[in-house]
Amino acid sequence: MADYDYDVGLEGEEDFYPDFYPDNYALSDDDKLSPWNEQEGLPPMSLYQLYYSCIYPTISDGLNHILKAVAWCVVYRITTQTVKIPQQFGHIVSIACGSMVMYHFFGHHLFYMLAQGVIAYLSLVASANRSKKVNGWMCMLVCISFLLTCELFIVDAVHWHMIRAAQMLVAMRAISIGFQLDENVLPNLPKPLPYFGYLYNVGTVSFGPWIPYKDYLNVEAHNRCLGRCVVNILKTFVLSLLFLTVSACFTLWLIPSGSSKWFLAYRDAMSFRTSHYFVSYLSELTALAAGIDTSQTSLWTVTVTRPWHVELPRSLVEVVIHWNIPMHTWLKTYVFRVARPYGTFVAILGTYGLSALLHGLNFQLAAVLLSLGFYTYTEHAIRQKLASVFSACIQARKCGSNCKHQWKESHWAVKICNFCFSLLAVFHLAYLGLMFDSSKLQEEGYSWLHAIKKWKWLNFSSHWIIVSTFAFNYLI
Amino acid sequence: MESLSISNRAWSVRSVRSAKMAKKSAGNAGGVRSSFALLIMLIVHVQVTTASWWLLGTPSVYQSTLELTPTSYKDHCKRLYYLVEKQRELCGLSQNVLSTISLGAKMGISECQSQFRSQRWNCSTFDESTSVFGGVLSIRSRERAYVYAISAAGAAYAVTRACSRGEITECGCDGKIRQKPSKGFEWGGCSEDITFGERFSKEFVDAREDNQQAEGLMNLHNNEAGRRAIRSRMELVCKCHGVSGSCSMKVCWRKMAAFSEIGAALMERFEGAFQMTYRGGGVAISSSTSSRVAKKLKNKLLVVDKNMKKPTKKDLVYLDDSPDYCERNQTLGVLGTKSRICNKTSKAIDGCSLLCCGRGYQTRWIDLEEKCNCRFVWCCHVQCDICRQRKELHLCN
Repeated sequence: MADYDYDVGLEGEEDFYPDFYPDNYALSDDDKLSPWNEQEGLPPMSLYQLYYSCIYPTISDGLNHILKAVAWCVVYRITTQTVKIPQQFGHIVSIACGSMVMYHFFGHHLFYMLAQGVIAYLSLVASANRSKKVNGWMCMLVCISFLLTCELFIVDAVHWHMIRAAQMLVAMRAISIGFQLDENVLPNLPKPLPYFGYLYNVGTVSFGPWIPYKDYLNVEAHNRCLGRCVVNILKTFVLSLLFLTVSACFTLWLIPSGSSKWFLAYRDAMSFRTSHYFVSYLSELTALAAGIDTSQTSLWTVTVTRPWHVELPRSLVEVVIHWNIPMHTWLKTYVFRVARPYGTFVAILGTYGLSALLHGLNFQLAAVLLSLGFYTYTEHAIRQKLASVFSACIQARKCGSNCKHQWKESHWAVKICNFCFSLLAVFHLAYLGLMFDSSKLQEEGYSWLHAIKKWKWLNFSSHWIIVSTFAFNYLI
Repeated sequence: MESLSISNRAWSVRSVRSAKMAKKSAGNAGGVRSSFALLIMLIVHVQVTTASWWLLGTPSVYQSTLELTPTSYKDHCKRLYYLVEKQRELCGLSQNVLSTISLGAKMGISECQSQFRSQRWNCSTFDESTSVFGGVLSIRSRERAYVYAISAAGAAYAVTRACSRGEITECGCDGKIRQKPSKGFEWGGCSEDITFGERFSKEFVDAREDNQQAEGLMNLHNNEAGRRAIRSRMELVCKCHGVSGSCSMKVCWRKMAAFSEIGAALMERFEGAFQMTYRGGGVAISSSTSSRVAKKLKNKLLVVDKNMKKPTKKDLVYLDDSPDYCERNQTLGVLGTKSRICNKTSKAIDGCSLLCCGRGYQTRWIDLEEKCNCRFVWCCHVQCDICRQRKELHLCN
């Protein structure tokens, strides 16, 4: 081939042309490509090409983050649970390892989480001195105003979107302590060290899950059956990587850009949901690696999400419950039960509204959450009515074994009916989840225009269906 | 490439021989006829060497490549007179090669026209003639450097994209392809997409260049600069993961940038292009040491100004100064800047004073219809009015 590479000529006459490339870039197999572009349409590529250009770089980049988090969890576990150490030291190690993990993920923005913890503690101290009944509400008010202030005035959009989730978790932990003080589950306000150790525990600080305070205090209590622990750790590790590749690569590969708009909606929503499962299993992994065990029945199980209940749901109520089980527990215990005396509808709306507030003033998220609240209420109400009218087990949640309906769960007509409701739920899920796409807005939070545009693309069909269902519910 | 020089020589030998035969047979009265025949052959020879694979990028040819069927493409490849032997071989490799390469040529031409639209020479093409850019590219100027670079980049870009779309079955790292011996193509292991695209572009586009001539060396260097521009502009694409759609964790990978960015990158190289001279090969005797050493020198291009730094593989090089693009020049094929649209307020090269080369400009008024007063109507679409405007247009004299 044309060889125009020059070599050194006479002495004093070096005419070779040096190569240079940008610093971090080499003409070798460092170049990982994704051959597709959201706007350009999807290539039908072979599985090997998919592996080479998407799966391998995604996994290696993901492992880079995962292994760092898990390493600090293991360090914490070895330091605090293998040998007998004083409790204070255990809390200090928890805070230190948690800070390292936070620094890795969020850089110097971990300062906002520390600030929130400190401010929440000050509010708890202030309210504990007065009457014992308003700890929870005060703490909630303070935390939410801190979150809103940060979002609106202090932090820029990209960084806020990055730390939003961890901030929410810190707030949830502080508020749970507040409410537990109210209900006398906790006798006194915890000392600063255990409190901060709980707030920034390395196993739960980066992605969750939310654990109650007692589970944190019990972290050194049981250390038996380590084999089971290792098996569960490996299982969650494999599942998280699996969901990561499905989210980043497989969904885009299975449903190319030329399909009908409902398939595309399902694809985008599926990519969002599998991303959520990835994060949930990752949080399980970090919690297990740090020695946290939240289950009462079986050993070494931290259940954050149950994907099969969300992908093939019985109803949207089931979706909401199994989407993020710790968070659902938190909302049910500390918000729903507290607001129940004021009416069911108000309680449900309040729960979802508070959840939206905790997530930050993000119109898209708030719209999805409030829509979800409305949907679940409507679905629950109408299915309840239909179940009592037909005396069949077609409620939103599975019937117990001692239900009084005439047509039980195993009857074929009931099964078909439930299946139809499932399909409707899948449709609603696709509609709601499709806004969380991989466009440029994903890094700074999606705007309201983006949300409205995406929903208008599907002609707001899901909303119309629910409104008509609601009206139907009132008519019968 | 050796085959190219051989075929070139064969052609010239044949043309000379047939000219001689024409002379012999024509005799005295055929003196005019023989020289006419010689002239025709020379013209055809010249046409073959100036017409190049860029013709694949012209609209008519591009359309026809899209309509190739699996059975007809090999014949179609053989009939393309403006490709050399090696290029025709590569064309016959797979059905989509021709349409991909012509897409690459088309991308290169349109990007060139986009980047040069405010300059005196605006990369205009002549669709009906055999030399796509006119005679102006016979001068070994920096504009020619840009054209070669952007078209090589376009070929590499188009082939890489086609590879990842699965349109070219020869690329990828499929096991069964490795066993099939592909003519003229050596597999150095598992190649990735961009490497394949670059290699294919190198084999195809560089096939007609002669690395013993000054022009050939310049073209080869500029082709490589075009391909390297793609590599230096790869971008990072990320997907966010986090609780409730937040962005706690980003997973990233690399992707080729949009082609317009590559055109802009090459434009920066164009403005900093290096002027070179040609030094022929030969034998040089080194007299600096006691024993006299004879070294064989290769042909190479040297920088004109020895005090300047040497160009890298990513820079553009040229040999001659650009001609004056202001005035129309039939022999050089320069269109001139008459009737070009200029920008009255700009002080750059697209301003009326520089673009019109001091000849002045005329102002015309035209009516434009465009959307204005766009507002959001509840619920939920955007409604615009149509405003009619008179706009003034400045045309060079």
